[in-house]
Amino acid sequence: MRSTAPFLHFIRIFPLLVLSQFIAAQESLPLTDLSFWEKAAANWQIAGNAHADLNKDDHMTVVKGSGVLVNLPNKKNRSNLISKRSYGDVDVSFDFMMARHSNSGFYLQGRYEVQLYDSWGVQAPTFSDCGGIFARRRWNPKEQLFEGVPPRMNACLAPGLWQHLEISFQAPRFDANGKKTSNARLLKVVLNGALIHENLELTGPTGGPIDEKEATAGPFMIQGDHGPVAFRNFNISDRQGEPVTAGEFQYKVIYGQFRAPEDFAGKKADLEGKTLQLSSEVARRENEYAIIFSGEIQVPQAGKHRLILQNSGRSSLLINGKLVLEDAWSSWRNQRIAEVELPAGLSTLSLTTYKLDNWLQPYLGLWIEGPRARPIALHSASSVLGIVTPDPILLNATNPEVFRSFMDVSPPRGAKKRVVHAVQVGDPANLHYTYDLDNGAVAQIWKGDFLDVSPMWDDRGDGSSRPRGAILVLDDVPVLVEKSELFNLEPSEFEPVAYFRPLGYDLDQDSRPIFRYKMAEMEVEDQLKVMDHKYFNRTLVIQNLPSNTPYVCRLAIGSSIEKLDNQTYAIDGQRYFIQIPPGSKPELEQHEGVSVLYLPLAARVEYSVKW
Amino acid sequence: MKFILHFAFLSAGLLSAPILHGQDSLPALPTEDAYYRIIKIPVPEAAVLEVGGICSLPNGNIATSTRRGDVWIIENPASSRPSYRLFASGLHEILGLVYQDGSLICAQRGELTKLTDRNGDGVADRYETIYAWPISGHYHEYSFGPKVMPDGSYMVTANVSFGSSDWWSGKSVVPWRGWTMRITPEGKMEPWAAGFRSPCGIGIVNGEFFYGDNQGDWMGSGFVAQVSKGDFMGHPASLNWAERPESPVKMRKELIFKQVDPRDDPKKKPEYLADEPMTTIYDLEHSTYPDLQIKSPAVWLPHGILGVSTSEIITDDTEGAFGPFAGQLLVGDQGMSKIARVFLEKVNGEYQGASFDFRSGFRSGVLRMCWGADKTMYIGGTNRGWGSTGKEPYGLERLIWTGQTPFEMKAVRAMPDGFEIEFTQPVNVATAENVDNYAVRSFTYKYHPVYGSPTVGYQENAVRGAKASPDGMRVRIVVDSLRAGYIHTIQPEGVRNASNDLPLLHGSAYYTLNHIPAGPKADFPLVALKPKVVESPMVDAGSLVNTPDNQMKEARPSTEGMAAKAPVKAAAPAPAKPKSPVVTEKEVQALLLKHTCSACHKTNERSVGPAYTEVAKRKYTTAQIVELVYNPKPEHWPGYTPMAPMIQVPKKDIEKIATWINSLR
Repeated sequence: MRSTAPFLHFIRIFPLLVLSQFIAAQESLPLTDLSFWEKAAANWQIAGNAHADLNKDDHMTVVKGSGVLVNLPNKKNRSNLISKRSYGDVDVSFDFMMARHSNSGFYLQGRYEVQLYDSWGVQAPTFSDCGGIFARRRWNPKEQLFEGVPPRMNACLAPGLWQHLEISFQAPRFDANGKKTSNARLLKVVLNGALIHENLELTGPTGGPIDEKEATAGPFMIQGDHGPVAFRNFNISDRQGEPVTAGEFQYKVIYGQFRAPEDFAGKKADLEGKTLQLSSEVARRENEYAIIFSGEIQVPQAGKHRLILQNSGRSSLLINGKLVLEDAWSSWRNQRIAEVELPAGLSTLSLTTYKLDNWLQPYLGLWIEGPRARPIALHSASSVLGIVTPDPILLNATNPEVFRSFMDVSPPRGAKKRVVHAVQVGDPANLHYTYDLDNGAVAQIWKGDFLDVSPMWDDRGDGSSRPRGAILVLDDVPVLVEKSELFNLEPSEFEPVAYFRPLGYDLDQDSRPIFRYKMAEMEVEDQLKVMDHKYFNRTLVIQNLPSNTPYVCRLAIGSSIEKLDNQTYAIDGQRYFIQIPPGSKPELEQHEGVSVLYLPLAARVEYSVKW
Repeated sequence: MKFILHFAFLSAGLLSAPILHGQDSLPALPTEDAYYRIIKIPVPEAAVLEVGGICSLPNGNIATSTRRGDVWIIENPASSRPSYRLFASGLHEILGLVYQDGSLICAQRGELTKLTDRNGDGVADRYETIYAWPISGHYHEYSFGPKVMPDGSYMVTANVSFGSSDWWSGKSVVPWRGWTMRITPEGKMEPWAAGFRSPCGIGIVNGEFFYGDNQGDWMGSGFVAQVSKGDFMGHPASLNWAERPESPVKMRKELIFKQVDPRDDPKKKPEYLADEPMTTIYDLEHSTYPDLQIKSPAVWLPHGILGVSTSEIITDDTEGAFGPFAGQLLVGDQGMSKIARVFLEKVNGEYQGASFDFRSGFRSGVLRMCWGADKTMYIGGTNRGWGSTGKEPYGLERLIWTGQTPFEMKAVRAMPDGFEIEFTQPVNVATAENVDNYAVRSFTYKYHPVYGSPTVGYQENAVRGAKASPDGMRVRIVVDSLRAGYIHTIQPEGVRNASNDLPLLHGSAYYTLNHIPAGPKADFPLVALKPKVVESPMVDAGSLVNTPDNQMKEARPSTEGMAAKAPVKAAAPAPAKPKSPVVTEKEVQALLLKHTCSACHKTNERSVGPAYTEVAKRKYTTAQIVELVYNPKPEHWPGYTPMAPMIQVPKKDIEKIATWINSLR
């Protein structure tokens, strides 16, 4: 287990122990005022919302209210914002919004910066782009930047949209003499749903820290001196509680074909011993064994603990003599989870596992997660090594790609579904989409890498592929509907419908698809093109359009649609923008909590999706 | 100097083979290789050519579609440096390809698609949906085709899916899964026939639609069958949609379940029941529901012998350029990496006939075949996720006739009192007219919800007379107790050809006797019926199958020459039963071959099923192995093709095999 200087330990734990009486492990900042933060200059304020103009640099406006933290720096007021509280191991997530060309950053411990930047459309992101880990800085004798880490992909959205960042951070560790024993780590950074860093080791503070000297804990700091930025929905999970520790486990192994605990209860052990870590390997055979482990765990803090068991065969778990996971079978693919209230101090643990299925790889993993601690393994690393992951098969869009597969989506309104006649269109600009041939809908848009096709191409496969990147799932419903069906969001039927007939697609001279279908008497051509490496321009060309057609073109469906200017609409609380060409006259209708933005159907309909 | 030494070594190696044969007192018999040569076609490294469709283009090019969604056009496919052009890509696991009027047409999982190069740059730029059919998105919902009917319409077949908890049970959760769809070029779809399970094998024969399935639930073994509009082929899942107005199918699910308990329990996989009352698809068609257009197989392809997963069906239309079998069917098999041959005749207006081994030893699972402009056969293969005897993940090969005629049974025709065997070469009349030189047995398969079927209803059929035609090309044999509805295994074991006294290259014919023709009986003298000791039921089919050919040698690297004379009768009643019978390698290999285990298992490497060495690691007891052979647990071997129950294998033989398996640890 990790060792910590007793003194440092005390400082770090004590105030939180007190706090923990009152707060849950996860804390949401209400942002009704600035009280969470040290006093800062007037560039920081509380607002109800913010808007940033897609076309103006460093331009952000605010709406009165609360729940949103906004930084509008000027020459006089441009201070950073620092939290009053300090954090060591912590999970933090928040929404943020950049102004065009704006620059900010979120520092863990005031020392390790995840860069926030308007990197919309950047093709080859660097460490100074959004989601990058900013470089360290030294003077040698001139300024030298080193060890910056770019995000794995550019998952940054357009300025003026609410983006989402999730960070899992592990503080550096120090021995009793204050000597660093392990570096700080970003266990996980997820930007807009895309994993951009994992288990990333940071050798020291990045540029512009509150202190170059590393420590076990430190405050959050948000950079305020470079440009307008807004935040909301801070969620903080303090993870610096001491983990549960375990001493030796005694084990007893009985050989035989056992179908129930009674079959080996009371039987003489074939092997007995002690082990520091749980492992199926103590059985010394792969099958037809029962192992009973028993031992004590040291619980540093009373409260709800989660025990996560992953095991091949049958197993049961007793804590303090109470059955928390009853005797049941599982394969190593499944986790069984028990939530248990544990008192501080010693608790007893008894794990029974027995296995009869010789086709199953032996596997035994048991993790315990404290109220404020990350899960730690009570098993040996080798006990969970048996499973070999297949080599991934990844598809990149270095050229335009048109790729059919099943595609699983969870539309914002409606149940999770498998789009079966789906076409994935990949663009070298790293902006991709799924087109549903059954209804002419754009089912989703994503940015970043193109596809993981292992689910389809490894072994027998299941015919599906998965997007790799930040995903915007849209309603998988027809874009062209009769006006009376404006609010019909029913998913398409399995079976072909008489009024809709897919005709496939043509490839244009750049190998980009133009989708074709017949709807009622109309022949439709539908093409999406990536513009400026940033956004989609969609053009629908309709032939045989009747003069007084009942059909309209649904541009967007949302729980809210906000008109920002004559051409720009923000959908679902600034989740994405729809822009229409000058002179278009869209209509906005609302019905039972759903808003639909639509255009009367013309021989040519054009609009942009900016995200 | 080095070269010479090397050469000398090589010669010695070559010479050693006949010496070994000599020790076993076996002549060095010609192999399949002497008559049909397999030539690998070079494939660029970047092309993962898991072939799902292949066709010939009018200019001699070959087009092939893959499960990775590419369509390649191969120029000069017969040369050592063929040129590959990526014509189309990004399609959904294509499992068929035909050329028509300048376009290529293929079935994707969810639609029939026409690919056209409109701007002349050699690459398709119009991907036109001819018809999109319903599909639920299950992995097993493969769609095969098209085949083009004489009227220009396209035939496409659709796999069933499986349940999620009852993963063994074929389902049709959206319309027309488990059906053949007939689609016009204008995109009108007509549901054509039902009862399909995994209809990978499709073909047009004499302008009629044929299809092949393989063993699984409700399917006892692989087969080929002619399909007419409104036919029901056996798998009940598809009948979910039979009530629809557009359905031409008269058969109904309830009628089947009245006869056979579907044991439709999502928690309990149907296990083989030895003692339940049984029926066959033949009985269903001919006795139970004669008016409901049930269609039993025209020709069965016995499971594990002629295949385990029927694929392409093509007709030899080379008019002799490909050897002596013009007009016959050649049927691929994915799991066993081989091609079987089928002779069809019509009796009482319906197709029936005989199946034979033809060529094995392809590098991957044989999925698709077509004829090249040069009258050689092009073979595309894949085995992803299923395993195959040919262990490469994919392959593209040519099969070329060497110009030599193998000594084979060219055809077997049903006679009122037996069969007429037509040979490819004149027979040695003395051997051909000796009834002791023939063995005939008959058996069938069960129709039930269990995966596959053991061979059941065994009977020895005495051969009472044999008479050669004046030219020595035909022999009429008179056989006792012919049974309609049964597969008759015909083995002219001792018959030799006239010219050089060779035995048959492939020694077994499997005749599916749906009808016994009327007509005059043989008018030559018959021999008296000899009493014969009836042994326990057995499949003897493997005995002379694959007389020493390369594929079987590959399958068993250490037992050179053994296949030639598998001691069929050596497995005779064991005397006193030793507790742990001592078995020789040779004896076990003979049993593995005889009981068709070798069709799916190899000693050291994965084939269709796991290697015996892998089975050995499971440390099953002998009793457990016996139980598992009779009632396999495919859930124990995820990722492999399920094994069918092999109830016909005598327990004593399994015990010997089990002892040997466990000696591999």
